[in-house]
Amino acid sequence: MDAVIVGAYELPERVIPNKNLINVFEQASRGAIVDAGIDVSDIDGLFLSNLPGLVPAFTLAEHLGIEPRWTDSTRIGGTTGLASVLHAVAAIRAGKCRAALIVYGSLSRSMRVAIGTGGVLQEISEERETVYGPTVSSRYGMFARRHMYEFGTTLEQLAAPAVSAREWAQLNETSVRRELLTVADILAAPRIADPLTLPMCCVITDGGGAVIVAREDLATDVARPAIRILGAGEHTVHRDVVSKVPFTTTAVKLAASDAFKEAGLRPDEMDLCTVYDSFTITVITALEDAGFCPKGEGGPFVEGGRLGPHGSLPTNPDGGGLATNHPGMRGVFLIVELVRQLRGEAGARQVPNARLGVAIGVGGTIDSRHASGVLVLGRA
Amino acid sequence: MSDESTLLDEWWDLCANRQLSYRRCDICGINSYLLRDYCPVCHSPMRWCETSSQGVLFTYSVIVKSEVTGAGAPAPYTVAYVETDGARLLSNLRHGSAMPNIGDIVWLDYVVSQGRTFPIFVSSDIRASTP
Repeated sequence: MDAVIVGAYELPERVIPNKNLINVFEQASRGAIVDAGIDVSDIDGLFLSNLPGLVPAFTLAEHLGIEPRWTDSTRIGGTTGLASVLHAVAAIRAGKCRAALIVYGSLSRSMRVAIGTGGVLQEISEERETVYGPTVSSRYGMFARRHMYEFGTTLEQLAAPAVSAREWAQLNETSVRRELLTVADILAAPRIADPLTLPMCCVITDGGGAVIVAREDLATDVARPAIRILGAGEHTVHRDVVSKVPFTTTAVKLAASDAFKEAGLRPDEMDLCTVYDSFTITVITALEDAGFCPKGEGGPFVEGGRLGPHGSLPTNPDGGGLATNHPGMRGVFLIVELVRQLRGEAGARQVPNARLGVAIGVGGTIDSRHASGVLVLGRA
Repeated sequence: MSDESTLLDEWWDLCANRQLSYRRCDICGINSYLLRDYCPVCHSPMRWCETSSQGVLFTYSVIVKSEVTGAGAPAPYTVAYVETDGARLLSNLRHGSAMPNIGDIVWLDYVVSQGRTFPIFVSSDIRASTP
């Protein structure tokens, strides 16, 4: 029995000063359950990563009033939500659960968690590294500089995804960075971690979201059209001497290859794309590694508005992490936006005739240890 | 090294003695800065081996804004990957006003901050200007 996506929800708030984290999870869960039009008692699989505590699944299960047959607290950074869909499909195909809730929440902004531009992710580094102060943005800055050195990628090309993100944000009232910027504006903006300027780095927000993956036969009387999971892939890599992945190539390469192979589709058949945009270099590299262009040509590929509302590869129509919503682990929002687009319910930013799309996740930091989850989705 | 010390303790002891070291597998010839006991290829025990005095700059980023310090120094400071002895190490790079270039030779040095000795790398122009 195959699995489909029946529910998707993103909290509209970008600052949530009045909730505890568990209640953000609760609200995100409820939103997806209502969206799917199923009963909370139908949920027998629970996938969550980042509630604190030794056993995060216990807390949310109790709040929701469910006693799941399958829990999964995979922690592979911002791509966890995409990997969780793959894991949920496997659980459903194995007959071990019928409806899986994948949920994420974060109060990074309100709690001033040091993600993105300012801080060091202690969790992904060893002490012998963190003493040197490698902020998240500097890790992507180091990767960007190496990409520029190897492939001739330019500063103007590093700015291009941010230009497109702002164009999309004009169409999304929940975006937090809505003013249009030119390439020149972006290059003149304050440097955070050379060569990255502030608009090349994601926003820091609070937020939450959830997705429900269910057995196909449960999707017959749900509220919205079910979205098919045509292909999925996941890969974790590192940069130590035994790694088989070159420095400027990411875990996206194998994850995307697996996902497209399973789907029997090619990148150029996608009507749109959602891609993890922690930084603009993430977009450039992920699109290369997913096969949208040859390796090293991501810079020229993203120029000329290709990723924007009038481009040939509409990418992150919600404005992405660069303009709209990045509470730390954006993966679940890549799925939510792709589902909204494939259902045809994205309003002002709807990509016309969106039938096939790919969500490309990156978790961790691409200069070092990181993971990718990739999902190819389609309208039934 | 005392019997009670962990690899991380030994790492800091070696740094304090100005003997930055990597882990080496004598069977495979693999060198690595990860603090591992066993070779990831042949599972032989690895041993400490002292780093050469120079490396090659693999990439870097000048951090303009930071809530943390780099080897005790507040922003701006420069993080870098340096290749030495067939291994790659995250560290700090001290350089002059001229931007360094990937591929530059950089030199191992040490800074002391708050009682701890940090191995760092310096560019050739900084090294030449140091007595």
